[in-house]
Amino acid sequence: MSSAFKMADFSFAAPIIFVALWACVVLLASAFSTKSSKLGPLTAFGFVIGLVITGYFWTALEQPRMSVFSGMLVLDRFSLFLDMIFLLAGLLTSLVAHGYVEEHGFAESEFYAVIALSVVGMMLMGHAGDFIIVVIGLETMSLGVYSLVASWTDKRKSTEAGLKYFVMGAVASGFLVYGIALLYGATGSTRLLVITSRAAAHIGDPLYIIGLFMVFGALAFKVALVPFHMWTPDAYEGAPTPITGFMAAAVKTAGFGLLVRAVSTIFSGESFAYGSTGWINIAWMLSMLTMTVGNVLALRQTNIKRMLAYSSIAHAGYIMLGVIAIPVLGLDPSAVLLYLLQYAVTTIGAFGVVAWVGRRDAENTGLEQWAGLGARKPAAALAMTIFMLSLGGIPPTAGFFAKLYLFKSAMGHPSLLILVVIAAINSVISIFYYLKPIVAMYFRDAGGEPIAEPMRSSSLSVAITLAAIIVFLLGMVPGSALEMAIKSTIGG
Amino acid sequence: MDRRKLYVSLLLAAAALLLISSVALAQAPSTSGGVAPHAQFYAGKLASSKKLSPLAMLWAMRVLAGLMLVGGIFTIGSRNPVVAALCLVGTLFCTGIIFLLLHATFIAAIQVLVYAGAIMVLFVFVVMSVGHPEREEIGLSRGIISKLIGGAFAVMLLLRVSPVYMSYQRTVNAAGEIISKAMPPVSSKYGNVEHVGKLLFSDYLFPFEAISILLLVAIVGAVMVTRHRRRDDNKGAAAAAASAGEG
Amino acid sequence: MTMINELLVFAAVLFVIGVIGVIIRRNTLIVLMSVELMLNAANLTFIAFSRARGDVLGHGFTLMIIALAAAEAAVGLAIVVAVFRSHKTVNVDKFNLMKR
Repeated sequence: MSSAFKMADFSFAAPIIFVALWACVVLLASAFSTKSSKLGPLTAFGFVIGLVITGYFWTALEQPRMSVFSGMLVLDRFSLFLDMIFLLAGLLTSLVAHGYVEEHGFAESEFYAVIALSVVGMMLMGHAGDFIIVVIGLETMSLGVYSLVASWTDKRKSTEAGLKYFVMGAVASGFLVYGIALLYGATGSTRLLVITSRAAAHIGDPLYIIGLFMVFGALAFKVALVPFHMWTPDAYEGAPTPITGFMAAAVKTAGFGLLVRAVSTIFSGESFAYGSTGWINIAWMLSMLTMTVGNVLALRQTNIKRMLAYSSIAHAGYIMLGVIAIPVLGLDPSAVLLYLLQYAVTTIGAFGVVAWVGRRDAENTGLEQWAGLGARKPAAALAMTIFMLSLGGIPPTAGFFAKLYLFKSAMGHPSLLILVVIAAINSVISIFYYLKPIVAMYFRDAGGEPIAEPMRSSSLSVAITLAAIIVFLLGMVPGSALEMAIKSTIGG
Repeated sequence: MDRRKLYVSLLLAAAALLLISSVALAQAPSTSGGVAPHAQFYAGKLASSKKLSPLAMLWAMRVLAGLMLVGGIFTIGSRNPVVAALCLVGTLFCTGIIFLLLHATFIAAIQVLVYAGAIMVLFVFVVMSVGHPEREEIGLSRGIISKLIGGAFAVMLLLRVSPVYMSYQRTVNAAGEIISKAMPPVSSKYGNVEHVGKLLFSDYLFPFEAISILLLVAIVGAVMVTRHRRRDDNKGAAAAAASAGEG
Repeated sequence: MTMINELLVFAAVLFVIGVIGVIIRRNTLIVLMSVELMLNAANLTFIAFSRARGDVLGHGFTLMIIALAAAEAAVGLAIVVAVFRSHKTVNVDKFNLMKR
């Protein structure tokens, strides 16, 4: 109750505050410039500075865990690492979006400010030490992404996708808030650590258990685990392509970041975690269902965006495997962090290529339209090949190493062995559909006139080149990134 | 719906709410800053500035909560979105008065101002501009399985939680141990502007700042989505003109 | 204390009414109103628990949820207006441009 914050607390929130201020700068710049042509790079520049600030905090953090604003915000290397993923995703997305928006001419300058503001929401989620910050961060992110999905108002699919996503998301946040109310009633606090410390007094308390499950359900919705995945294909297909990449990369990372935070705090109570109705058992089932359903449904898609949407569901299943392994193996999130990092970069790169091959009034997301791209546009085809190989987990890409590390760390525990085997089988299945675009690009003849013709945009090519380089580096020399992920521990 | 019937029922409902709310206002702590003096004056006339007995408060709560639920049922059940919006206003207003019974005077004021006032005006505005009543099948039409699961979960939640609620009795100390089983007595300042304000500017300072980002993203996002845009090429302009002609 | 016990049950019923509204209604506007009912039920639960404990934490949380509901309604209604412009309807069943 007592006032326990200091003005110095604001300096510890510097990465968050900086990005929020930069979003305002972008808004102001859009108000004063008649042409919106420089706003994408301007936003990207802000994300680069944000990355530098966050990187400095990551290296300079002395304690394993700092708690500021009387426990509202938590600073540890884990959350700072997540921040870097969000900022990298925002950087790549705003560069890709710059080319895409220019080509299709649909959105105006607010587009970039909303991207930056949703990144602020994600960072709040990563740093949350109290449920109120969880709710505010989640809603900031979600409201931004809903409006980004619906922002192409001339395209009926876009508004329809935005509405479907919004309705489902609003219901999920209703469940989240009611669940938090139950937890508050049971334990008398909304602080994650306090709820954790009082867990022992609430073994078998229905308010406590149901509250935790409602929170778990809302998070499962955000990361699109299988019974809660209904919105994903439509929202991903209808959204403007750079935003689809942003959702697959950053929104998913934010959801999993929060899930890992919950796993290390409120979900860690013995009575909730273990046993036949413990969350670990349920998450085991969800993880298996998610990867299987995602992969099987992806096999029969002919629209590349929709195929990648189902593939992102499957990847959520793999990441969930890593999340389950965290409490079993003593709170080491490095495998999940590394996987999230490579998945974020790879998926934004893949959607970036999908955006690249579209022209105004011809988005070219069908597989048949990609026929013969390898001969006509070797650069785009090569980039897509790299990202597809990485998503499929084929060496020497980032996806291979991260998946190997994730499976290897999960195999340390016998109870997860079956799940790892299922995941490995699933990865093999997934290679079939990841090869489909590659086959179409290189081994199928276009027949008549060329259909897909990449747009010209320097910022888009910069983004895709950057993503491809990162994917290669993470695959060939993963040492430093791995070391960083291992050092990014959860501080209590 | 017959318009005259609608107006009469609305007037009756408003009169009943006013009556109950004045009783509830009299219940609010007299020294609090959350209730305007004139409200206390009128309420005082009605309840002769005496505190209500617990039994009277219980029944006031039951009547209000009953109205709240009826309003909720009509909100989800009415065919006409305008009627639904008005019923929602009633529900939110009843909730506001229940907040008064719980000594949450500041939140009660905010509930009526922001929720029943601002948000509902927004709703009614949009309903008026887009929501002409159209034929609608009420029921599970698509995604039956997921909807049934959701509904079953909600009902199970109710059945599981209600018994716990009915036996929920705890006043706890800081360590979470139960020290008393009665409703804790609160000071006359409990829940007024000063009390909540102190919380907002100490522990809740950061959320209070962070919510401004939420409001900003909502404003910018809403503007981005609703702005009517004309494409600059000829085909787009023609399409826009055509759609404008339709609308 | 009976009052708070019963109030909590009333709030849970209101929450379930909101969930049922989301499930059975096709009109997007009424679905949004049902979501408001759910959030309102959560608010009521917070205030009731807060009173039962004699602390004021729930009041702060409720205030934030009211702001959140306002923001959500603004974005939701904006999307509804955009959808109405492009589809000329707000009926969820008519939104089927994308096939499973």
